[in-house]
Amino acid sequence: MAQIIANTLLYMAFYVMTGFAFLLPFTVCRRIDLSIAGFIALGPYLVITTAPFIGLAGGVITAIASTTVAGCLLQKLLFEKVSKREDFSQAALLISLGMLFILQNGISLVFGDDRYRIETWPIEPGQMVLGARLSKIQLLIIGVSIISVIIAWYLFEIRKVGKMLRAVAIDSDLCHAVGIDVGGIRILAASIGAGFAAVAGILIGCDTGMVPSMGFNPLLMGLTCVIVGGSRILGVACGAFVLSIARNIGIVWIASQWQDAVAFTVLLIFLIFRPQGFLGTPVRKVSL
Amino acid sequence: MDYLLHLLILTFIFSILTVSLNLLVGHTGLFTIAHAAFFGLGAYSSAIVGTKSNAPFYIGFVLGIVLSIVFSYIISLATLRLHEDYFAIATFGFQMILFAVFQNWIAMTNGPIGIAGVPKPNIMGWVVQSHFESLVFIGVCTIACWIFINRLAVSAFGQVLRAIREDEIYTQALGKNCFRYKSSASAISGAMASLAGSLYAHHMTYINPARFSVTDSILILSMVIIGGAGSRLGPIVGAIILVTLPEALRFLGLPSNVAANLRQILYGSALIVCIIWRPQGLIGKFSFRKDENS
Repeated sequence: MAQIIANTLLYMAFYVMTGFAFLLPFTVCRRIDLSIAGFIALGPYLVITTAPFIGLAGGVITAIASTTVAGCLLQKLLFEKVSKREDFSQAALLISLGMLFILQNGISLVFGDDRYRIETWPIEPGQMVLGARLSKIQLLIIGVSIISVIIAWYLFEIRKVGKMLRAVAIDSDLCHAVGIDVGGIRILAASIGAGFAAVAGILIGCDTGMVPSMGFNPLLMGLTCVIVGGSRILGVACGAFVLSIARNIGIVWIASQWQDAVAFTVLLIFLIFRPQGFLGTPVRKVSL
Repeated sequence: MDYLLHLLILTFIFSILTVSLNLLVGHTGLFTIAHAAFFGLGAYSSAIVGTKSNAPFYIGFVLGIVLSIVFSYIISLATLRLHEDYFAIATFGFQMILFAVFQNWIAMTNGPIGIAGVPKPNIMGWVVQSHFESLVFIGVCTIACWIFINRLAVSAFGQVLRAIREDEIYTQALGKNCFRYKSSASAISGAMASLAGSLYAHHMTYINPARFSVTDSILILSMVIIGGAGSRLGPIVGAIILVTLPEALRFLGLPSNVAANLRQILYGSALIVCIIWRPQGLIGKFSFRKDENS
């Protein structure tokens, strides 16, 4: 039982991180950003490239920083170009798809498809924590994700910049009219999203190792969290909770290879019956 | 020679896929990333019927088409109350679920090993055996699909679809049941993709889940966009380019894994370039949604 709770927490930690990475571009920039999957992979690969020269901590900081810059550049150079179009959301979806292909295969071209792992501590049997067996790295993951929930909540719900982000998410034209730099806010959102993606990717790289295509599944889980929970920070946390419970309880009754199918069935059910998620306000089909 | 015929057949099969996807993406303005799932649905229906029973080949076709219609209706429920973006997400979810089924339902689909020995179709005594016969059979199906979709696009039904693409609220105000039109369009498109899948299974005689992954859905979508969504010939041009280009790269003599990566990078770049600088595709006249400024 304790082990199931621990596993649920661990999954939840991953989902929350990728959920945040997906949430900001989704709500603020109004686009489904699949290139986040590329950033999830980019983060840990940058760590293993730079870590031999500047140490692990330096590598992690460099990776997060450069992924954030990459997210910023992507938004500035590509997405802002199409942001005036009526078909913006579809164009952006396709651009992010193209970007995902480029990032993923670029990484595979440079590093090959072998599995790497970020070396942190030597692999050792996990420790007993409140009756569940967790390794040091898994404890770190849970810790980091709790800290990021607090940071994200503080940024998004308390600070002025969070209000601006949410305002742009709701009505960008009105924001423009009252003098908010809408383009700048969008770039900020995209950068923060990419940064979260890098953190998530690095944690995955520490835990189970990385391959170039590692980002895709976490991204889809993050997307599911956002849809299930609703487009708020606490909503994403709730979504992550529901999803990880569904997956872990699913294991008890259904074979483990069906975990993904369970998760996406939850997604489809929510999309059809409660598209605004748990905590979201009803989604309007159109805004006039 | 057989290799060329085989390429031509693949181009035909992908043309069915792109032409049917065009009905959704180009004409209705709905983005779906589940086309490979429907493709797989048809392929697996035909393969399972062909290998596990003695039923005539068209039973597999019909089974695939019926399943596709049912599933596409369920997915299109997601568009009922939501913006089109959510439809893309719903199709994404469906693609992943169906891929998991292909991969994990070992008893039925043989899992990652795939199904081998799918019999060639027997049409009233004519067994479609050689590559050339396959080409004729599949070519006829492709042309029929192409004519059907083009007739549909200019019919009253197609006009309503384009009206939905341009302005859904306005179309609704005219008294059209937009949901019914959208769900019918996605059902037709899904059924046709399933038909392509059945043809594929019978032609290749071996299928495995790798052909029906989300990457392939994206590939089919890129074909439509690069060729020109909403145009008559655009999707076919897209299919021709993206089927033959990788084969041409093969002659450059690159190591196979490098070539595969380069190919994907090429797809990605082509998609981005197309969307930003030529949203109407290579030979399309219109962008898939009109510009705000135009």
